[in-house]
Amino acid sequence: MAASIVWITLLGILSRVIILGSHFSNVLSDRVELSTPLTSWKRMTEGMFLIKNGISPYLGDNFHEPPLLLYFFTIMDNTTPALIPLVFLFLDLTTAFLLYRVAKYLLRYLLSEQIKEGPSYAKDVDVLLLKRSSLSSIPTLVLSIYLLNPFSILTCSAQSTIIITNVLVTATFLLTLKGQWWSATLSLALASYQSLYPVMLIVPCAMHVANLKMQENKESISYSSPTAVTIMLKIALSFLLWSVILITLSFLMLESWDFLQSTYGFILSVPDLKPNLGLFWYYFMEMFEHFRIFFLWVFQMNAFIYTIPLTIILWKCPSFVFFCQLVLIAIFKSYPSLGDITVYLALLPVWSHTFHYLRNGLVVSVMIVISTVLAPVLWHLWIYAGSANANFFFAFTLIYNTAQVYRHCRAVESL
Amino acid sequence: MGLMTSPKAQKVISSFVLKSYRPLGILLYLGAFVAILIVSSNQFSANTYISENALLPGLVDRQYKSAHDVAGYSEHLDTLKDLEGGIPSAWLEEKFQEIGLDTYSQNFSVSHPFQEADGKLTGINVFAILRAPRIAGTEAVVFSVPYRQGQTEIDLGSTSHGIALMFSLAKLFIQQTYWSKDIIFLIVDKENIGAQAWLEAYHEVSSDYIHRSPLHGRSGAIMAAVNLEMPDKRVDHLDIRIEGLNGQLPNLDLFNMVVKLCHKEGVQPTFHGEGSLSYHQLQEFFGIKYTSKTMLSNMLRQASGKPYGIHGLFLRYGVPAITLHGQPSGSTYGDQTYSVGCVMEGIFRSINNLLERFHQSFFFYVLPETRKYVSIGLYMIPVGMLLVIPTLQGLALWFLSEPKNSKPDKDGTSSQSNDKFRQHHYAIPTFIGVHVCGVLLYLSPEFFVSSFSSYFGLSSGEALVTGLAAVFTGITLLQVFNKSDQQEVEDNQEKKWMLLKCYALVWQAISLLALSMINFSLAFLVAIFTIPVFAVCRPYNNFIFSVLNKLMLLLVSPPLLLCLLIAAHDIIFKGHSISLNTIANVGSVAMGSIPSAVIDQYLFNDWTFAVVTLVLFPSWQMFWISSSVKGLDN
Repeated sequence: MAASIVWITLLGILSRVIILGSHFSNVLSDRVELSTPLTSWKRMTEGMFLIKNGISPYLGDNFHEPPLLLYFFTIMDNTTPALIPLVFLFLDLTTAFLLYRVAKYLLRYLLSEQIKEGPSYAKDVDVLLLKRSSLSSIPTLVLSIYLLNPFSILTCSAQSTIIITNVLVTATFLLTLKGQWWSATLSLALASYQSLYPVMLIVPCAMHVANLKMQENKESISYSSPTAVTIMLKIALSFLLWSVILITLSFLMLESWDFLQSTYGFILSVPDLKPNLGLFWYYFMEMFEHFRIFFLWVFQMNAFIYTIPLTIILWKCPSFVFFCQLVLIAIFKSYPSLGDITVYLALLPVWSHTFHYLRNGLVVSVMIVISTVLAPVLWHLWIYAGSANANFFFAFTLIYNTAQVYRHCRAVESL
Repeated sequence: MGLMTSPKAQKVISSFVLKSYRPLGILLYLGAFVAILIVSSNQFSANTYISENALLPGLVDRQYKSAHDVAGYSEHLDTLKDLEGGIPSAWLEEKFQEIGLDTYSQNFSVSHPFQEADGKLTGINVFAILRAPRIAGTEAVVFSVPYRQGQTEIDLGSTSHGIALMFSLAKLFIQQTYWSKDIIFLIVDKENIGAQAWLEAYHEVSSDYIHRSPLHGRSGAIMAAVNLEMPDKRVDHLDIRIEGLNGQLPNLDLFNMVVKLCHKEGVQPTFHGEGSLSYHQLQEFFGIKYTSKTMLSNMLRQASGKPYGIHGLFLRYGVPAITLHGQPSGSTYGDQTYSVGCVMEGIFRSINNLLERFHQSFFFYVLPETRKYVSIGLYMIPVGMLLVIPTLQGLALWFLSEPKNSKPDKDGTSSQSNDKFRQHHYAIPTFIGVHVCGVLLYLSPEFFVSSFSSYFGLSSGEALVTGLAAVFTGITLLQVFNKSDQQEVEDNQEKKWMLLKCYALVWQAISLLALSMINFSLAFLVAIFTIPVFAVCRPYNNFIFSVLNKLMLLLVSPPLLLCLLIAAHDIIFKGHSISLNTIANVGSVAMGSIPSAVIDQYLFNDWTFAVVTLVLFPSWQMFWISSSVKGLDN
């Protein structure tokens, strides 16, 4: 096992380094599938240039990263600019190894649950049960899926800052599983500080930690018990505290609140309609201006509202809610990219024991492959050749999202 | 949703697919042939119409009164051609200046890695800009004529009469006040290379291989380009050429407008040598006899990805462009110069009316006749039918490659746990491997030419073909001599090739679908030839079957597929019979076209070589490997 991990890691590093070092990196960072206005490295360099020249990048319309990240990269750029691609490489590798650990912890947790509840299971469910042997094989699979997934290789090579969100979200997952809620909320606060949507992960995070606490106290699981309520409140408060600290720190550094409007305001009100893999740009391009606010609410609500039914149905396994929330964010966020789906794709095998009755794996994977192959082709025909139009491109982003929704429904169903 | 999830429905679907994929495949394949014939017929292809209202072709009074000065220009140019070695740029510039246009010239030279040592190509483009009185130079229309001399003149037909006509029309155009778009008169030297040099300079794009001086005069965005090739004053018909680089086509409105104006001025418009058909011709068997041939010619030309005239390079820059190629008539009397002049005037005045870019009409079409079109909605039907075949078979193999459910042991540490899943661990590395081979093949030309041509004393073209052939043979033979894995269970081997072929089929369907979006004809022709072979290929233990199977696969491998397409073209359009001579001829044409595809890729960004090495070759390679799996029991 260990040998294969080394090989996979080397292969993952090699493929990333080759692309990062070639001129493809530049081409990739211009691709709409990989870089959104929020995560584009070009915009980050623009922001760094502005801040170096004493102009606030948040006054313009171009830059939407949070201030702390901007300062971090500005310092990097001033001292060791050559190391910046390596930072991305390092973060991506960290994500991979965090995912490996997540898979390990998660499987151990699921197995212990299964053993505990084993006697209450119906007969003939053998095929749906987790095997002890998968404890060692699945984490390696998770690691290799993340490292060798072309989407994550390309995202890393395009130096998209979604990499940072990914590493933070994965860290949150791991810390939640370990029950270290104090640091889990910190990394969650950092993730939501960068891209806002992960804020919804607080729900499964709090539930899982409460779950762990109740198991520790040998209580039966009930989220209205005093133990659960106190710990959940504590988590909410600590998350708030971290967020307030981060935002105050940003304010102190910039001495203005402009950044709120051009980061979170930008995410929520979707002013930039440059095409991407999501569903927002096409609708808002077509829409009459006076419907805009209404549909903004409708569209943004999708990203948040499904947490409620999911938690109600899946209250027993908050870790799966966490996973579902990742998928929902990837589908319904306002500026999605291929980098969003890499984390949850890698985590998919963890629940593979429940997939026995899951069908249509071929259909869904082919849909995703088709959309990722054809989207650039139609983009070329639309933007460069001038012969196709927006509908062609949108058709394939629709397929991409339908495939995700479809696969997700199946996964939830099979649980 | 219920249909796709309930286990019962699943079973029905899988049994249906398994039972029907073979007969359905044959039906669909024959159906695709019938469908492409039907869509080309009079019954299904629609009549063309002008979609953009602003064009109003032929509605204005023509002002071009006489072409008396054309002959003088033409004769003078011909005498200059005999005197000078290259393009008489000084004289051309002088004439433009006499007319009163802003006149400029541009030098360019080409150097690429596949050049012969002495073959450095240089040239001069001459162009003049008529500044429109009604606009501040934000929009322009290009009137281009290639300058030809020597061997190219013999091969492609003279154009001096076209240049003369251009001068004559420029004289008329400059007197008018209604122009709302600048008109750029462009005389292009060295065909495509000159056009590319000018376009790169105009759009300020740099290239590593074409070195050109900057343009000293510019205008605005180019709305359209019309390229005129007129050999003589006696023109039998005007052949309208649309196919551009990588199979790109101009907006159908531009073509329709030209056809309409030709009819109006009494010049016969033709498309791939076929004129507008008469009523009777269209009624007889729905006109299939004529239309199918024209459409096939159109498709073969589009599939080649090579521009059919210098207009093809304008398309790459999003400029709708078209070539009017005058076919000289054998007769000794008559003079069509005036009529062609009127057509050109009509075209420019129509384009002058445009308020927006060409966008109303179709960009994706094939033409069975000058006044008929087959749009994307119709021609995708046969492509779809063809692509369903690999999809269905892929699905069938997916079901077949499913491992049988073995009861896991009670303790949960099943030793056969690997059998529960399909053999992706075999298929995925193979999939990646063949694509890496494709990339190697794609990158190899430069390597072979730079390191081996001088060593073996080969010319760069020969070195290139030899090198590619060597890599191709090497990669292909690698699979034939692979060792059979004796330890593997036979059942596993069976599943292995099934899953790999499933991957290959699905990937083929996806890549051909993507290709059909860019270049429908190429995708369709490749599909027609490869799909039946890919559908039946499989590994055999029997030696004879195995060899036959391999031979069949080799026949549709990319290099031989190229030969097949060339042979089909020669037999249908040049009337060659199938003989040893034809085969030798096809071979030499294919040998010549491979280096030219590579060079075009460097100079013009031609995608054909990339498509073949990065898409078609890996796809073929997967089928080859899946048919080489050994250790079967049958």
